[in-house]
Amino acid sequence: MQQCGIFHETYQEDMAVFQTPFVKTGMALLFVFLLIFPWIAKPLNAALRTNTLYLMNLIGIYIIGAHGLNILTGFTGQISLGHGAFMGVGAYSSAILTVKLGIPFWFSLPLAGLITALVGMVFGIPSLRLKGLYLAIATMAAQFIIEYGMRNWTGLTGGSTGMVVSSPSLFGFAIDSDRSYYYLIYTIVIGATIYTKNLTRTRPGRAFVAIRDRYLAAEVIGVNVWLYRILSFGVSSFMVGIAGSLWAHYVLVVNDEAFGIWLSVQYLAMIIIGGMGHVLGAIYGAIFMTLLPILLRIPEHALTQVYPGIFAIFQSLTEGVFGLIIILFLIFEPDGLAARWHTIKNYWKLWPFSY
Amino acid sequence: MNEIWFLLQLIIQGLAIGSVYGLVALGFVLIYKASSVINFAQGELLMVGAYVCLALLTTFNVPFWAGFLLTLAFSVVLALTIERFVLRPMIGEPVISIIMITIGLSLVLKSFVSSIWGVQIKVFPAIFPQAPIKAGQIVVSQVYIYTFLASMVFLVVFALFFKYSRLGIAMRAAANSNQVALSMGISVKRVFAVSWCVAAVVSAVGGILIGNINGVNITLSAVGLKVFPAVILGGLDSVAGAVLGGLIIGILENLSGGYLDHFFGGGVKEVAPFVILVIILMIKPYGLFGTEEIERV
Amino acid sequence: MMRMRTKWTIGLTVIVAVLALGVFGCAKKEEPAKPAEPILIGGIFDTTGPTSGVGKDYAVGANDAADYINANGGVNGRPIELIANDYAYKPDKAVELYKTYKDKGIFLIQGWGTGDTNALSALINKDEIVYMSASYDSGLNDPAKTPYNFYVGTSYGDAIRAAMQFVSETWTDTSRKPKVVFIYPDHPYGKNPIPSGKAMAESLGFDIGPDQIVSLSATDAVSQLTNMKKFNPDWAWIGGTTPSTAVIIKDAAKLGLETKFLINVWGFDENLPKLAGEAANERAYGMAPFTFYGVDAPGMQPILEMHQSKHPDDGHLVRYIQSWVSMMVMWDALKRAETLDGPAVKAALEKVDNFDTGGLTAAPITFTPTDHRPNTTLFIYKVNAEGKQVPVKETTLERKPEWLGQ
Repeated sequence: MQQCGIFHETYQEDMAVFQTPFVKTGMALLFVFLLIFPWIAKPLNAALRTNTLYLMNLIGIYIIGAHGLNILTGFTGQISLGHGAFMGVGAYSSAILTVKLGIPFWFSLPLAGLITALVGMVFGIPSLRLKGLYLAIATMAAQFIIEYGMRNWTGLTGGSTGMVVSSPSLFGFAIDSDRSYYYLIYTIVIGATIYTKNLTRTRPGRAFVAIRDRYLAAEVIGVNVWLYRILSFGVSSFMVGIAGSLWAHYVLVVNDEAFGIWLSVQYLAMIIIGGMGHVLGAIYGAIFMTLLPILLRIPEHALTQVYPGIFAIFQSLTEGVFGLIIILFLIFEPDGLAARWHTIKNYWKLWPFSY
Repeated sequence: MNEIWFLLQLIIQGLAIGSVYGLVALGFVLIYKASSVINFAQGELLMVGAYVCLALLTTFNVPFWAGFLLTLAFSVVLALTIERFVLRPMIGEPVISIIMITIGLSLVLKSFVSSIWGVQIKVFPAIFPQAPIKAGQIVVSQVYIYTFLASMVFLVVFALFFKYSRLGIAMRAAANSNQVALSMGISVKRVFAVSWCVAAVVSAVGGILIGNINGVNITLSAVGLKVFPAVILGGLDSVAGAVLGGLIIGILENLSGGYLDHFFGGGVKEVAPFVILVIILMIKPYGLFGTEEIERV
Repeated sequence: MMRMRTKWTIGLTVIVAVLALGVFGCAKKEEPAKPAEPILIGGIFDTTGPTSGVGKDYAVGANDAADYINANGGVNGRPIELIANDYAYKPDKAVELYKTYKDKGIFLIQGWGTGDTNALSALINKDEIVYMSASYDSGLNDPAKTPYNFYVGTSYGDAIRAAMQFVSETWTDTSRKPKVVFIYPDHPYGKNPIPSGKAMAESLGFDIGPDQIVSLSATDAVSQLTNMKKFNPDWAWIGGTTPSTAVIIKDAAKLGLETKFLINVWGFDENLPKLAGEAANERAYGMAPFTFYGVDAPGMQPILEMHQSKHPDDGHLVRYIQSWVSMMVMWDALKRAETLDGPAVKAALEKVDNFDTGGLTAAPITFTPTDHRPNTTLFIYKVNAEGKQVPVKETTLERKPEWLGQ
């Protein structure tokens, strides 16, 4: 399946993102698959009892956000319970920029990212003094404060009514269908993934990891902890802000309830279940967390046919199953799906001579 | 109504709610001191306690005192189960995993409650007298007075427990240093288990008290989040600080609701404790009574 | 090495292909051909969210009504199928469901809340999908702005105006004008009617106190009511749902307030006296476009039969009636529609003229191409000293053109 050893002869080879022909073929196949997916998605709708393409688009948006959180939590070791609200900042910024100021989507998308980065950095300031659980609590407070702002700053955000935004268009061609939006989202997903992968190979990326592993030691060897922590907050929020902006122009209605603490928890669960600090982890996590409620809906549907009363019970159980899965993962697979995938891959690499 | 009376009225109501926050914060701090676990499921423990008691009283028609005791017994069993099967395997894991596992736990407990009892408000049968008491221009519902008194009784009971009982002293020792306690022959595992039991019991009491004010619904677990400002204000590892922090947060939240709602269009009460929290973290991260952490490379 | 890899790749491709075929095959098996293709109706309900206290029974009513329609000949022989989904009162989830329904070719949706119905109104006009909401928001009844939105209950704007009219009619103290306060949750459902109510109160010369915000999931309203006590109003409007209304009324009793409450349609039902206890007695007045469940009326007969045959042990609320009426009006329009698509059904709905609900609503329902207000008549109920909900009077508001969409 794969070479059992990788031998590098030049630095370029050592630094390459895709190191073996197998991986390259895989990536090419994946790319082709992503390209044609919208055209083959229809038959899946009935089986999953949902709009598959819609789901795929949500996954894409979550992947971008999860990459962002992964940079902060997985690489830099800073816990954030506020990324749900940060995504909301991105969504609202984009909505306000396009609706109230009439700025085209293509400019408001990066601007929304920048605004979110700024907000993220402001709330990241406590991270200079705090760490671990204190930071978790501080970002949780940020979550509630931002949520409150979104709900009550009626003049700016439309309050609890929310805002109605329009679909973007490119050269007069409206990107308003699931299919066209799919290509927009996945272009950005690919960009974000490459960026995140590349980040780990750069100077800031290494500084992040150094801070995560032992920030005092990092400071001693000359890493500017202050700068890189804030930077990490900024980069992370930027990506989640982009995700928020994409979400806003896809769902077409922005409201505060979509960005509650539940979303922050989901983001954290994504990178934990996927595998913290792995680029692929964010992707696995986003897929897993988005598909789970849909997969749970299948037995739910079957059961409600038989016992109609069970309907409501099942819906409240979904959240519990989420919780249970988080618990089980943390106890039995603390390194997440990415690590499990690695183990399986290594096993087969040497099969049948694995040890 | 005179402004002073208005202020007093708000403070008295705040004290009653604050005393419940104090109780719950006490449980939170105990777990943190013993095992360094930040418990995001504290509010859910409270909610489960309230609902179990409610079910005993209304569905099974148990008298109040028996329902109350049975609820406490249930809380102990629940706490032991959680400690043994969820938290014990996590000893030594990084902070984020611990935080996340208690969040997972909170989701499980919440869905447990909502799948059995639904998400809508349920009303306790009246346990305390309903008629309001008037003092000057202040009108206070008796429920608040009883809530405050009951919380105070429990706080005193726990203070005595820590001061004089063998187990209480062992818990304080373990909280001080797990290693030293171990070498003195104290079973730290047992201390962990007991701290969860105590936390679940005080939370259940808090839940029953709050439930008696107006009834319970699924948002009751939000009380668990109010505990964070309280403990951060008091200092994460200070029992006295937790209680005091709870009272202060209760009062501040009610005052901000009473005076600031006009300016911000409502809901200030929900967010004010968190604004306070951020301010404390910025200026005095280890709270009023907390011990400062000193780190060495 | 190379050949090994190729083999693996081929093998893997085959496996993937087989799996994919399996999935697609399963997908096809799930849809056996039916003799008469049912007409799909989308349903967007709240059975788990903050308004589920009133939403669950609404969903049950809609389901039962669908069965009733099918048992009575369906739409000219074709059965209907109501695809009901919960959206937990989240607008974004409603948009997701809407898109799924649209993909299925659905042209008629039974929806729920004010926020999401408003958010969807631009989309449904573009897609020409008829949307019958449980939100009676006044902003949705002007066909010039929202041509595809319909609802069957007296609008919130008319309800709040009728409430103010009621206060004015019953006011006997000539030495001063009545004092009123508006209490509502921070949701479009609560907020939207408030300007209409205030305009009416001002025109009647009332003294208006500061608004109080009480959320739908509140378990206490003490600080808001303590605040309100400073103004000490004679009447207060509550624009919440039943659970939060009960909390407000109980806390008012605890604080010894003398204020009486006028409650919007979603805050006043059979559960209110149960949740609020004695506090509601002689204090709670409800604006009710519909009769309560089980009232003696010709239109109630089929409902009671459905209830007996499907779930005789469950209790029902006025919410059941509300969705039932919505489904009946829909049925009427579907039967008369020239073709089964959005514009035709819209045209048929706009020909609904004095639709007789059999006494389930305070007045017959009429839609015209220029006016989607179903009627402007409501019952005013109150909770009497024994804790029973009794009608006080039936009130009709003038159908003024300037109140359209307000």
